[in-house]
Amino acid sequence: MTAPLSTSNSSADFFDDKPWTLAIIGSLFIVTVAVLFFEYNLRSRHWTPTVSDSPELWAQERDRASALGKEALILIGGSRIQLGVDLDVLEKHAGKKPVQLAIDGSNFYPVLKNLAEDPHITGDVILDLNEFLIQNLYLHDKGWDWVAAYEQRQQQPLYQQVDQRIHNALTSTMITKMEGAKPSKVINDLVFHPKKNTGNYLITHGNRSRDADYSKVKMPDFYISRVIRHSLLNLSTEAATTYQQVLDIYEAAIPQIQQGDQTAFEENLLKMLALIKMIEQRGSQVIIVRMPTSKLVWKIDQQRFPAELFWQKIISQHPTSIHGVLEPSLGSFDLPDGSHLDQKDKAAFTEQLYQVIAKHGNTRI
Amino acid sequence: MPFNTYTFIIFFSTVLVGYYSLPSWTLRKIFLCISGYLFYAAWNPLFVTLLIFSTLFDWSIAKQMVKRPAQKKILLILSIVISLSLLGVFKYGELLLTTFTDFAAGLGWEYQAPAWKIILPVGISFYTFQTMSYIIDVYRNKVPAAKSFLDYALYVSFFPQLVAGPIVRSDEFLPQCETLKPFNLEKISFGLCLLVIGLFMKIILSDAIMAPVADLVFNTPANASTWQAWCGVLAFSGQIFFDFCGYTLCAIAAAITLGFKLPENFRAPYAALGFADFWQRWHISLSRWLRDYLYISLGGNRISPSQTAINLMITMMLGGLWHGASWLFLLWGGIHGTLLIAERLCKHLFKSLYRNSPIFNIPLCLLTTLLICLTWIPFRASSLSDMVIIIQSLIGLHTPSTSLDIETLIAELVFVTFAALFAWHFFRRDRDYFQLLNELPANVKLLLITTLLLIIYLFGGGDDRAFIYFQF
Repeated sequence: MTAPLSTSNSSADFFDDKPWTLAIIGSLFIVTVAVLFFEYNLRSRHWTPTVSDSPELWAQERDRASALGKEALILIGGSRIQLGVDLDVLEKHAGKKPVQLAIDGSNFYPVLKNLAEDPHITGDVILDLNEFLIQNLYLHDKGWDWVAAYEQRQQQPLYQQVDQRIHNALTSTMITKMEGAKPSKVINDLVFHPKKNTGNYLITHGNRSRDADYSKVKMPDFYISRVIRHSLLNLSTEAATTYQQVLDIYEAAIPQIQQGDQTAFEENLLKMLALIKMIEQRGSQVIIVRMPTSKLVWKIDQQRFPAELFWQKIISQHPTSIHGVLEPSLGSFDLPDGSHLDQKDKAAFTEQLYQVIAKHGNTRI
Repeated sequence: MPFNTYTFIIFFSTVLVGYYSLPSWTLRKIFLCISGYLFYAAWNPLFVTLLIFSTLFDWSIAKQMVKRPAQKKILLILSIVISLSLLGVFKYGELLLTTFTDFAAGLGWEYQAPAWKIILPVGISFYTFQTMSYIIDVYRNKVPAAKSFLDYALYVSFFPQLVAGPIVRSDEFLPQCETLKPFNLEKISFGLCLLVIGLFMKIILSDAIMAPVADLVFNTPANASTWQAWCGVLAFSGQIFFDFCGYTLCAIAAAITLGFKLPENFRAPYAALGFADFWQRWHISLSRWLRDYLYISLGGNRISPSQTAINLMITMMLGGLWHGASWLFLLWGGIHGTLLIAERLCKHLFKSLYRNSPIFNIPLCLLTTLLICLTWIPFRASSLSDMVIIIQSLIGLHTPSTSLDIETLIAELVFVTFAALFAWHFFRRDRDYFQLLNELPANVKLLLITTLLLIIYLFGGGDDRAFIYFQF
């Protein structure tokens, strides 16, 4: 503080009349070529660009649900409806603007509550649920976090809104920028360890709908891991020498699975119906869709929540409810992992779903 | 909009093309002014009114000072009161309110303060200090009142330095507004290369290497072991340098592409030989401001040693508070004030021992850097208790219940990067970095910029921390 400070510089403006154009033009050219090389290389290995399904993207769609008003057809739930419903097909038939608010790996409840409490939500709603989710209505998952972040957020500065859109555009066109992963990691995984990778099976679109290409995953490992997770059982499979034997062990254990708690289910069902009523009082319509499951996943569902006990309660309280297995036209689709639709069946499934919805005489969709 | 955003790339490219496409110098300056307001509006369009008010008000005050010399002092006081009031309301209102509430509670008076809903306009501390410096300089007859309103408006709204400095003096900027800046491709390229270097410092060195470790340690200090606490302190010391120096470099670079020169803000600060030397190397434009408009106004060192010490302490504490509405910033300033006073005392007592030799300079430099790093603890800690825990952890007096999950590789990277930063500063402490860059052979320049761009592409992204100094 005591000695004089100097900000003077030997050169008038730091620039010494030395050549720099080659450095900036040359480096931009080299980096562009390198990026194109990585992109080409990854595409030749069946990788596809995908946007990052983030809380910010969800918030953007959530805003759209309010802004569209009665024009909106809002989809809420989890990965099954996100992967299973083709928004373009739905829009073509329904004549409304679909808004995908389902959140992968989460319960529908926080989103339903958020919509019910917002008077600006006047569009119709397709609610993807299952009996397990109703029984465990308050189980904390990322759905609660995303909704909380949305409700507590402050007005985003203008530049952040623009940046978000540019980011989405970039991630949806560049594989090296996908899913928020750092390009170094993606390139390391995909270019230098190609044998481990057969391409990304999940793609998220800018409107938050997703596609699953199960031809890119290793079967039946993928299906078996789904069954194990879904059963919530921890069985020893050391003796099994084939995949089928692992599945046999789990199938044999299904009768051990306890039936769901009817009391908790009924209590939570009433809470859920109260929220649905709030939405319907604004002139909207809420259609419940229990997306299909198949093979051992369906068997586990039936053991835990027999349809004749649990689904009956739903349909008796809310008639515009559709069961994806009990409805023959929906239950006939192949679900590679027993739980989700493949991208190739998405459009056809959506067509069928729309037909079933239309069959309900009292629906407007 | 921050420099490390896609929006800025689009904005800046548009400004650059538009600026050099315009035929007249006046049109170019109008264009730059409007660009500055748009740049500022990208945070919140309403804040632009504050910027315009500040510009119009101080422009009128300076004009009145010329017209009515007898009332100069009143006009100066009016300007300073208005500027500091704006700063006070927007920046310190909440702190004053909560302190008053706590004080009232201490007296047993139950007072429930209303919720504070005023948002701090980004960069208000920077442009307020800039306009204040202009008014004080006009008052002191150091600079004439600006002749052209357009030039003055551009001085306040020039977007490269609008929100985080450097704090530019009117006599550094206004003369540059007098002549048209010719199109010079090499110079624009030089500016763009500097921009890449600045972004590399921010995106890679600050955000990708230093910030994650600093955040982990300072957000959960109770879980930090001794080595982790040291790692966190060094990480933040590196983060704040790379973040702010990177931002300043981007600002200088953007100005260069438009044909303007902004003052340097950093000059190898971690190679400082003592604390007075540090403040001539760190945030130079702020310490210059505090020296010229506060320290010297208080009497500087031209009076008694005890009064000099008091002046130093007041200057440093207010300098600390300038950084934000927190008592920890005041403490940080107080620590720096104490260190400066202690240094003056040591220099006075042991004058004969001071030698300008490597044997003397290396330990002095190491000691200065170590103490500077430690002073960052109150600057970064979220609370006084967090600060105490980190200090206890540094000296092994705190036993964490669980350990922080800092990967060894990342920790090593922090230590190596900081050691490299220190070595670079030490061995290049008196070199002109810009000259050094200019002297590089053409192929080395190409290699350097290509490497930095590739690293930014490969390792950047996924973490868009705002520049630390935007909050000040």
